[in-house]
Amino acid sequence: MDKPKGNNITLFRQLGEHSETAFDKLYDIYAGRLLVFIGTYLSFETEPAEDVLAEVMEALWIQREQIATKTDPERWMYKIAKNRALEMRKVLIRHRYEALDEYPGLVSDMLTDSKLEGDELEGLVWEALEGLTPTEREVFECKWLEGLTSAAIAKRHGVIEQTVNNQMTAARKKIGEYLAEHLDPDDIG
Amino acid sequence: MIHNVDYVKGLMRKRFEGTISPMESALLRAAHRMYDEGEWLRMTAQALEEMDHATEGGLPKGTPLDLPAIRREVDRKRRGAARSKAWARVAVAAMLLAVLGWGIKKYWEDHLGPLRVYGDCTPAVDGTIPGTGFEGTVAYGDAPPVAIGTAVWGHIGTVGNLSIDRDTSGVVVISKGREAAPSGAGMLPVIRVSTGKGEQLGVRLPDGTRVRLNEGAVLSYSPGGGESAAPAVGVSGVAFVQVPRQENSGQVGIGTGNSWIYTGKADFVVATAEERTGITLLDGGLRAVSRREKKERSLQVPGDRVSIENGRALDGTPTDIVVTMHSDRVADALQWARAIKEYRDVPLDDFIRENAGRFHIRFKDLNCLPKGKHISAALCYRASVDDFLAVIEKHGVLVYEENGQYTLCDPKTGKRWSRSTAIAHVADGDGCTQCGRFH
Repeated sequence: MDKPKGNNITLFRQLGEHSETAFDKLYDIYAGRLLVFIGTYLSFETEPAEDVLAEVMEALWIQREQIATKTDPERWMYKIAKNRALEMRKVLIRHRYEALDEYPGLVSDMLTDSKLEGDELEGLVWEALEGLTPTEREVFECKWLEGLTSAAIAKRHGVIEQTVNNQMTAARKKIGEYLAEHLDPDDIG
Repeated sequence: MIHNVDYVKGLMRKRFEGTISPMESALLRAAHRMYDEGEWLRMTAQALEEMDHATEGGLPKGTPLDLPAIRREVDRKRRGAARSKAWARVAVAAMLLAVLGWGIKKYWEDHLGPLRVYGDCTPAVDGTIPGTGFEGTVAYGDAPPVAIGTAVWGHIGTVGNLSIDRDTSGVVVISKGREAAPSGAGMLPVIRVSTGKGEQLGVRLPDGTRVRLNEGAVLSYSPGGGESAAPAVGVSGVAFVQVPRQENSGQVGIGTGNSWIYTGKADFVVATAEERTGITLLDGGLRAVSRREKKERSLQVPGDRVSIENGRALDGTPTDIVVTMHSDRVADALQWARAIKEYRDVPLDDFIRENAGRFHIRFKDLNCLPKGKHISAALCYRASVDDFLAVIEKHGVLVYEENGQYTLCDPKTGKRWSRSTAIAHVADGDGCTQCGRFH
């Protein structure tokens, strides 16, 4: 996996030294991207997304010394943004549910999911599992069904994490190829 | 397809742009389940970066944030938190210091610092009981014993050629009269000076020897017959003896129940009963000789001690047990002579046992005495019963009186620590309700 670009790493390190200039530059670089990222959790509602962005920048300044020590500070920043966005999402859902009580039958687009496509896809994934080796299937099912990380799967089976990653990469390839064969090309872009 | 990172990032971009189809959305969700969160976030960051670069002018940043305000607010909160932490540390440190200070204060009060004195005291210059406080009895010849007290001064009596007086310093002085004793006059006069419970009395003999008697001690003096014979001096009980340098290198002999003490010049404390004698040298030098077997020991350095005891050998024959030792704590030997007796961290029951008899009070029982209770106080030689009880109560133990007997147990409950019927002195803002003094 690609590591963050060198100049951004430098900015994060400078931020760790309380550089306000680095903080401003990081905002210039990431504000737009973070807004978009946060927006995916909040159905791109502008105001809540901007509130979350402000919280993320505040968290970035508060935890500047910690972030500067990370090997991938960019990823850490996105993680903060995701967590804050999910918290905001819960707040919005709670508020929307209260609002919706007055309008029974009205369903917010935040609550709607493309369930039909999801169900179809799930069925195809299970079919694709038949083509996996037992080990690949075991690793895939741990991740797919239980949501375990590679590290957790490795620990459970007493193997190194790289072994799990290799098995998972192989499983993904076989499943992806199966899906590519069985899905309408117009639907998958 | 979703096993391809670039494809997934493409789906992400479509999601961000809002152009993703339902199936692509489902694929994106399926892909999300197949990658670790770290991998996913990395792909997300890359996708967004590519979008940012691909968009003319970059992605819109929304309403500009007031970053300086964010920084100021954050720093203000951090300073406040740090201050609270600092104050919490200060509070904890203060508490620890307070505890430490209390401990140091307690240790100081108990072991090093001046002790509170109970009773009215005016010690002599050397800290001993002043002569004005001397009490005792002088007996001589056929005359009735004379009680020495505050009202008795000047000439007390004459026996043979000896004159007995009490001088202005309070000391009983035995001196030789001008006329020599007639020869063949019969038995030599014997003067007995004694002290009762709580009494001390100083005596000066014709040769200048000074004897301070502790309570319950007796000094007997009989002049020698004629010019050449030595006087006979005997001591029982506890006494502090000061023998001045003798003329012509002569020696003074002082008898105890089981030994003789010979010295040309010495200050020493002797504690003697019928079958045991203990001598502590404070200055000068002396020889101690057991009466029965004439075992001899010399004390030459201040702090030297000797113990002479009547004993029996393994076969049952009487023998003298003589032991010498040394202690640098010379001042302890004269603690009893001090006007103010200090008790530092002394077990309460020891304090009570030592002093109850002195004040003529009896404790019915000491069962309710708290275990491990210690006291630190100073008691004046003129302390009263009230003062004695005040020391006990000051250290948190109540004293009850019932039918003339004293107890530490509450008569009602049989337990200690109850204040229901205590006659205990209660100190309030105006002083003790019992004796009027402040405790």
